[in-house]
Amino acid sequence: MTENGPVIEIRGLTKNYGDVVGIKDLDLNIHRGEIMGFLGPNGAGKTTTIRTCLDLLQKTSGEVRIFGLDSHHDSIEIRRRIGYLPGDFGMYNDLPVRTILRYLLSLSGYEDDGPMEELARRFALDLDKRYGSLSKGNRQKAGIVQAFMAGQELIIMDEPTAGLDPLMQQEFYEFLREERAEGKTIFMSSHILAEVEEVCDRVAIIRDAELQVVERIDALKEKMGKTLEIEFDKEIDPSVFDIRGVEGLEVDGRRARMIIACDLDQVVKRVSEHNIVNMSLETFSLDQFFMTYYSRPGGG
Amino acid sequence: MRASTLLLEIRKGWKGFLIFTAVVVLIAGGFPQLFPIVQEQFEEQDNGLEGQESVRLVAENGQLLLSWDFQHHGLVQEYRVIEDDAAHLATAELVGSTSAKNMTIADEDGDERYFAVIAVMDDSSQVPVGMASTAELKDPMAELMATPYLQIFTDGRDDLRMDDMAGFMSIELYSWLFLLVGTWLAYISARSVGGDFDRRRMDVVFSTPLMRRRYLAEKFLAISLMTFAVLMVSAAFMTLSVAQVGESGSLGAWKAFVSLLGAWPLFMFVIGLGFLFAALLRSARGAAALTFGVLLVQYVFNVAGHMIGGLSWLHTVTALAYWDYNSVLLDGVFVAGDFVLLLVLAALILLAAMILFDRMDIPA
Ligand SMILES: Nc1ncnc2c1ncn2[C@@H]1O[C@H](COP(=O)(O)OP(=O)(O)OP(=O)(O)O)[C@@H](O)[C@H]1O
Ligand SMILES: [Mg+2]
Repeated sequence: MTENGPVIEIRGLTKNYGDVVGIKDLDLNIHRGEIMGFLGPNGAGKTTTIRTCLDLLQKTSGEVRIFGLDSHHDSIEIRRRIGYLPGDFGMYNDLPVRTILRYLLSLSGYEDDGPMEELARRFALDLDKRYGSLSKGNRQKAGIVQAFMAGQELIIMDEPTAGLDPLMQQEFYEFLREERAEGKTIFMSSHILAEVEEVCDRVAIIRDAELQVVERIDALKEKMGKTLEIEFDKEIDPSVFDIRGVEGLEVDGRRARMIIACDLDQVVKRVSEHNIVNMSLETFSLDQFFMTYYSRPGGG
Repeated sequence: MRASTLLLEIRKGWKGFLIFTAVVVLIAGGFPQLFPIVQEQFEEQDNGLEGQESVRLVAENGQLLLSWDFQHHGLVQEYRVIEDDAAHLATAELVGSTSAKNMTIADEDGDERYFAVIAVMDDSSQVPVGMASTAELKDPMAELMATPYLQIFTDGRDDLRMDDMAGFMSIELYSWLFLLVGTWLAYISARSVGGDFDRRRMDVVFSTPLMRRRYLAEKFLAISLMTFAVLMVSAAFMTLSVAQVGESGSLGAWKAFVSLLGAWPLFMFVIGLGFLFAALLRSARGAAALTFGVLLVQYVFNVAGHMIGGLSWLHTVTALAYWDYNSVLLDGVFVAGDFVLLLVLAALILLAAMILFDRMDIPA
């Protein structure tokens, strides 16, 4: 038992659906007490990764260890300690939500329904209604309550805020931060870039079944900074920008474009030796960074 | 862990089962009420020939001897004997006429022969004397039971008769109860597991530490228990209904309960099939259809096995053949071996479903 190691440890995980590649040779660690965001275009393999961790899918090859246990052989023991919110789920339409949630609670071997009632109040979910009569957003809330009600130490969620109104989304982010403060580990996929930026500690980006990048959000934010574009009166030698903290340099004749992740002053002083025709500074957001993985083939 | 899945299954299903129980009870309790009417009809047929008390028919040395009594105030000119192959005499032909009160007729094997004696009076008016038939020499019920159609249901037994309550219920209820309850269970069991696929409930359920085997086992038990209730409640109503028409001697409580109990593992087998196909197809609709298909094939095999001489082995390969209700109803014997065999079969099917379900991907 590696209580101090990663909570989730994915090594060379591959899952094929017949001829279709779901995920390919994925490596990812998720640490205790962090919120890990999982981004990627449609069909990239997020749901596949998550559902393989839960042993709902049989992996093709590789290894997943959760709490140091094997995701397949020790799946029962693991699921005792996991809360899961599926991306696409249903419940028993004819039964009241409370009955369904109590059933799921008892399956977890957890009898106290106090937290369930409290979560339902917090997210304004009426437990007396039949599940089938709920709106999409309220069904999603039932799923959220279900994932957290047994107080599990690891929560895995597939697009948790889908269908929630903006107010509820904010309430949910606040709730996630509280959960993290209590030492919970959270792994969640998302299509909402701002959401990942707002609540996650780290982000993993997957594209075409392969992991592209894993980064700390604050490190990314630091790096992001600004995009500087300068037009000179004649061709410029790229070596001018040989400065620490200047990244993604693109020089095209008289034009240069770069990301400034250092003090802007350094750069301005260096280029002042040349004649500048035009100069523009743009703040480059995390959104734009993420977007590069969605739009550009091959990713960033 | 409590049997939460079992309890939820009952909570979800009891209403449907209650309605279904009402249907089966109506049938199981209703048929015994029809028995006296049916029996009366048979008796009527039995002594239904007009004036048969005045006419006697005896087979003797390859000949039929017809004799009659006739009391009338007028004078008889002669007696005419006509014959037909049915009691209605619509196509009757004259056999002969005589002034005596008897006639000898050549005995030919074959169809039933109906004779009528008519007295022709002095004033040429005709007065019926009475009728007699070779059919009377035989047992009409035994003949009816020997028809190929009814042979499907008698399982080759000559002691199964419609004019006996046990035999009547065997044919009117037991012979198709399998299809009725089986069809319902095919739908219920396929939907129980397949519906969790269709409605995307598997992810939520199996994010808890519930073993897939246990999930199937608890659902299986829940539906089996509800089926048991349907059978026993039906047996109770049947017993009461039979007693009410005074036929408990033929079909008492023991026979009613034990004969239906014998069907329990057969229905468990159906439930197991529903689960197996639901796991295989990961959906309710196809699984229900496939399960029903297997039931139908069993039924057809059973019928064909009884109707077509060379195919009698067909029905012994069906699970259906091991619910031997006739042994209970007619002989008062419960074949425990059959019961155990069906239980084992049901367990094997359930096990197959578990093994399959345990190893498969749950589609998102
Ligand atoms: N049951 C399946 N059978 C065949 N292919 C599948 C199946 N499920 C997923 N795939 C394929 O696997 C790949 C990854 O799908 P996955 O659902 O993991 O993507 P995702 O990142 O969750 O996408 P989204 O953002 O749309 O939810 C896709 O190419 C998809 O078509
Ligand atoms: Mg997905």
